Amino acid sequence: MSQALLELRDLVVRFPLGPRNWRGRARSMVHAVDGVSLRIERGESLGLVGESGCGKSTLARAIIGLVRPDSGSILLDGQALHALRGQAARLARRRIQMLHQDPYASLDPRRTALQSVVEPLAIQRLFKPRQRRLRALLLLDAVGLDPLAAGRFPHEFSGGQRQRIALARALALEPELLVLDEPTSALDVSVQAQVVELLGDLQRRFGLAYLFISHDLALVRHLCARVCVMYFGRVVESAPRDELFAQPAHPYTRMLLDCAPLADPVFERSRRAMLVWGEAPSLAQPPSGCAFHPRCASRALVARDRCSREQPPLLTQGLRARACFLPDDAPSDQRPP
Amino acid sequence: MKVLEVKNLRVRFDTPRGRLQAIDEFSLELEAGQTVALVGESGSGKSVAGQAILGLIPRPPGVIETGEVIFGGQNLLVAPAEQLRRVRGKQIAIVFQDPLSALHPLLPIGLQMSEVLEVHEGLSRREARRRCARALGEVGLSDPEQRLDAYPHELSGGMRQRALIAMALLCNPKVLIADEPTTALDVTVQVQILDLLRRLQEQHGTAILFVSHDLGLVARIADRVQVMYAGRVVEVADAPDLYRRPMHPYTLGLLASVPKLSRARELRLLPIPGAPPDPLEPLSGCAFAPRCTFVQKRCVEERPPLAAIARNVSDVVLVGGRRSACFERERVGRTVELPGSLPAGRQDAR
Repeated sequence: MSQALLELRDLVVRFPLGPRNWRGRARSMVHAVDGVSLRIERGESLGLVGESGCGKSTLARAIIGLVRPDSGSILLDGQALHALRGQAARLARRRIQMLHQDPYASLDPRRTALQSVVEPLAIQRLFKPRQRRLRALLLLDAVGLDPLAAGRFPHEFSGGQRQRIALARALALEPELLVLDEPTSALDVSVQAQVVELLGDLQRRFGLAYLFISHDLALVRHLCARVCVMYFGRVVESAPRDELFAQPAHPYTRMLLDCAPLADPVFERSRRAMLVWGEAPSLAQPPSGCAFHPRCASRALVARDRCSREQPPLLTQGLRARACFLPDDAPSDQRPP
Repeated sequence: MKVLEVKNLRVRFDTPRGRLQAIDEFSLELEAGQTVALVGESGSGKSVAGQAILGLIPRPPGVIETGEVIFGGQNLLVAPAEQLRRVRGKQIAIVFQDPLSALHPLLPIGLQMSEVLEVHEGLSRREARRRCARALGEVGLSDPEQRLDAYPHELSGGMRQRALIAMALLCNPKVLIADEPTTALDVTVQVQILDLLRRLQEQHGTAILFVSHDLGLVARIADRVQVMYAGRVVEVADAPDLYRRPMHPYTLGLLASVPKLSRARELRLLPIPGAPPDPLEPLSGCAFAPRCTFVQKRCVEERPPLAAIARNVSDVVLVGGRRSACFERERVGRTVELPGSLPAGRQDAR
């Protein structure tokens, strides 16, 4: 295989939980990300889907260096990110940028739009101050913001416009990979559509790779060529977009697809009450075996104690991978006993 | 049977920056067992409308300029406080968006719930507790007896929202106002909550006013939809009609903005250009005109009234009181029939 732009190998991020003992160590640890391996190729858009608490945001934060992984490695062009120091680390950081969820929180309220976009260039000591401003204005223009408004402060912009400013700021260093953590969930639908279309255009224009994190399957389908589904800190299924949506292979993916609302009252009315049980398990008390087994609609088809005893490994088959003991051709809708 | 009627409601807020017309000419009819959805983006006035019905608008800065909220033969807007208290929570209940801030963090769930019954039905604490446990069981919480002693922070978001719904339904209200009840929740939990609301509605014949910005969710629960824009109702229709043949350009824009699961690649999203108007700026003409692709000269000068639509538009017979506030509504209705409103769309998604 050729070298991926970004590769995660068996990444683990843990957080301490509960009271600490006299040495300042926590009694127990929560595995927010529990052995995730994935690759993102140059110019590829990978969607990462899962419910809240499944570790998708922690994964994003680990990739851009906001949290330190406990084990495993993050390779950028084959080079381990956390092994880099000094100048090399700074150069590597330039290549991965992040767009955060909430544009009301991610911009400094005391900086103008222009200052916010200039800042990363200044930190990386790129260009002369005058050129920085010029570049920032071009960027603001590229994300569809009137450069004449560049002197305004965040509170003078709407949510969608703020997200555009944040996007211009993320693009300032000409990254190769943009990590997008629910970039539109704070926006209204009509504005969300504007930002999504903009993201698509920018990707084509600059050849960016995206790691697009979302809980909205329809949105991921719209923007991403490949999709990874995470549950409880692990990847449970990954596949090219069309295959995943045409034939979801993991019962959890099926459940998510079944839940996704369709803007279609006729169909919604005709479908029966949902086959969904319970909520994502508490991180403090991980279920034994496959983390999904207490909610799984199909587990009756497998020897049941296997799901509750063993953790299914993520097995790759061609372009797809999934972590489930079910036979491949298992029917999708089985009520549990 | 009509249980709630709102007529020509106007609410404004006097802010330091000027007068903000939150809702204008807002009307609504709700029948027993029916679900009406108020759909709109943030700032469209949908939540204000829901809260005004129960007299929950803080005054000042809020001012209710005109309008009537007719429930049980009386106008709630002028009813004395004592009488309003007897309606609130007992006959009309509300479920708020954020269950964590709607619950008292320092009191166990059971205590907060049983208070409702003690106040409205004069039950003893023990009897109230029994009813609460049953209500929690009904909304699908396991071990309801033990849950009564749990504090809000000990429950997950979905469980808190269920507890709030159980609390709202304790007195079998005739009307339930659900103000974005699932916004903070995961899709899997959203679906469960919606199905729960639908099931409880069938059991008790409750009328639901469902306030939401999410057209996907609304499709799942609503019988009738009122679309709001800039404080006004711009379109009213039965849900299937609205989704299949929107007759206001804003509704059309909203529907085209929603990413679809079934046919994502073939179709670009068609965002509505621009942003909603500043509510502090007085408008002449149609508030949507600056963003509208159907705009005519007349739209800028004159405000289109929310008018009934002829029953027959290009071969499609439309049933049941459709209204649209657009001069060009017939042209909008003729332009598109949105695909995807067929179950087949779902099949190719799978």
